[in-house]
Amino acid sequence: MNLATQRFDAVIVGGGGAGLRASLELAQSGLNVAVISKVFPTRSHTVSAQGGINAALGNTDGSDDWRWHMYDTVMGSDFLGDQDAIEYMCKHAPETIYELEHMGLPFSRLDNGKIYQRAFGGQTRNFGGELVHRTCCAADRTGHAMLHTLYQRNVAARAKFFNEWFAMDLVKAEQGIAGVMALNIETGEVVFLQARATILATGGAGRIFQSTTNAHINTGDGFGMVLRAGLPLQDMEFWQFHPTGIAGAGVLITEGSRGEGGYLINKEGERYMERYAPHLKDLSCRDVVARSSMIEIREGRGCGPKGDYVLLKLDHLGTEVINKRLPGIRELSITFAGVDPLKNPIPVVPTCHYLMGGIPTTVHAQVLTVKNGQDHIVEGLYAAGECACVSVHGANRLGANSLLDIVVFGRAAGLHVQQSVREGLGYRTPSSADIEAALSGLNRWNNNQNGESVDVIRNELQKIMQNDFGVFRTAEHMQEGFKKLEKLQERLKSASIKDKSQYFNTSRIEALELDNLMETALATAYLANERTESRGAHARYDFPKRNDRDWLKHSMYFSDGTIDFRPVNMKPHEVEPIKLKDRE
Amino acid sequence: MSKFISSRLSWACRRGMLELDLLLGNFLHEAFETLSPYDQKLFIELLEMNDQDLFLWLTGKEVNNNHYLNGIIKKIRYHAEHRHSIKTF
Repeated sequence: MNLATQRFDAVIVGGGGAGLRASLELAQSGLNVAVISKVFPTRSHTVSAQGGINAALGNTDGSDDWRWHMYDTVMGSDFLGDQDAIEYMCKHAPETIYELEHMGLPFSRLDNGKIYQRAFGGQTRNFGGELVHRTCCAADRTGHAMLHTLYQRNVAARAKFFNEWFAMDLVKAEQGIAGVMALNIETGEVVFLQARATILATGGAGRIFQSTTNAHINTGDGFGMVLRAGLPLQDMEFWQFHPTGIAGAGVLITEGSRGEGGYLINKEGERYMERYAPHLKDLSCRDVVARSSMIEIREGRGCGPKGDYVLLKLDHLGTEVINKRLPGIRELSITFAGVDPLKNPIPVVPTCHYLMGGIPTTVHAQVLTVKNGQDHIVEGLYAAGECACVSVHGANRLGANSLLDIVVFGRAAGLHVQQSVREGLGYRTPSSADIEAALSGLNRWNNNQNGESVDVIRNELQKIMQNDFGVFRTAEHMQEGFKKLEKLQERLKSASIKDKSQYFNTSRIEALELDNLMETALATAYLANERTESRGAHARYDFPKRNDRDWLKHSMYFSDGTIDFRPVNMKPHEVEPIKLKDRE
Repeated sequence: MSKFISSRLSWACRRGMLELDLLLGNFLHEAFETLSPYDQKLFIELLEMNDQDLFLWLTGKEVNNNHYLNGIIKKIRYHAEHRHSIKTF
């Protein structure tokens, strides 16, 4: 078969912070690098990370220590984070920040000229002591500034961009990965991008849930690609949720709204948190509030024509409090819910925000698989950023550690690929069957006729994940969810798109994305059901306690339904391991 | 509007921020065709702006009455606030 092929030293899939940091490292070293991005790179989801980036610089407090940062990150991860990876990230954080500074990232500064640092939840001095100011920022646009700085630098370093190209699948070879099969969205042209190293930096997949803060592009494309290549995903049961996103939109209403006296009600007007948590009520921790809301919805006390949300009541606070103490909430609510909170309650629902799990990697971002209980490195494949699970976030991520994760491990991927190429990493040649396999998804959508639509299947998928595998998880409900998912998976196989044209066929891209959402959802469902404990962001109603004896391990899912495990690394190189402690 | 143009524009409404996906995407699908050719041209130009600026303008956090795109920004904001016509609680 006559297939166009282009060769690069490295192909990076994804133009967000992790991908651009990796490509920059490689392009600057003189390697021939291609970045494929389905949207223009500066429209990547990194732009939404407004909070900042952690590094123990000690600029505001006079002193800080990467070991304290490491301690906070391990505690935050509820001990599921790999201590060698967390050590690497926290230790390399300061130099990574200074590199960004030298590239021209406009960090906010102190009067003395040093980079300003703010306080953020979970950051302490001296192993759990007083709060420390560790978060660097560029005003409230850190992600945006990072993305633009990196993009400009990449252009200067002559990285080649394939913008508005979609990576459909990895192309396998006898040993490892040979490259990716990519589709030019504008022309419909298909090209095999062959590479010594392929780096996945495809971000998160919040779109598997009905309500998410994730942009529409976050469809877990790297997850689908990895699973279809027969490789595993790790810790996919760990998703961060926020209790109050605007129903039908996903835009967050700050938790401060409940702090100021707002409360949640069900369709009977009942303030239900009084029932679940008589003492703290609406000020209970995130998990408890989110789960209680989901129980109300599941048990038929949700509001609206479909009973699929609850209401956040603020009008009793009065105009002055709302305008003064909760600035912007009124505009948000009017814009995204069509509701004026001075008069009516806001429809809200637990909303997915961030995935801690992903593609398992070493600290050098090399993708791993497991065979007979042993880690094996997949030749020529790397992953970094939210799509990777290195694992620095474990069961829960600390604020302002995600921007750090993407630059530290994007850089690590670049450094390792450089070294490997120097040491002779070559190209791998796929068989014609490997090429066929990488085209099979596209061929299916091109050929299927008269099936159900992508919209119908995606909406059902998101509903199942929200209701049965979201914040309220019990074996019983997940079993129901499994049955629905399996049926839906069958229906997806015969689903079809009406538009079969080549030029700018976005419905075909959305169909390919749906395949990736389905793979990601199944990984989440299997591992959420498997892990019979509660840890970090994974809360099992039927197993409310953390169980270190049986579950201090990473879980792995393969697309044939096989589940395996890997030990958590508790052997940092330069410091004593951080010992297990109960959650406070 | 040809299918090619409409697909192209709807892809250009895919942004790095959910808020922009919603504001731009809803406007494109629900209001774009009713605009004058001049306003359509402004909308297409608006899509070339960066996400951070779009976010501040379209959520009203920053207003620049003299900017040549201010008119189309106002139309998008007005549309967002009035598109939820049926309320059922």
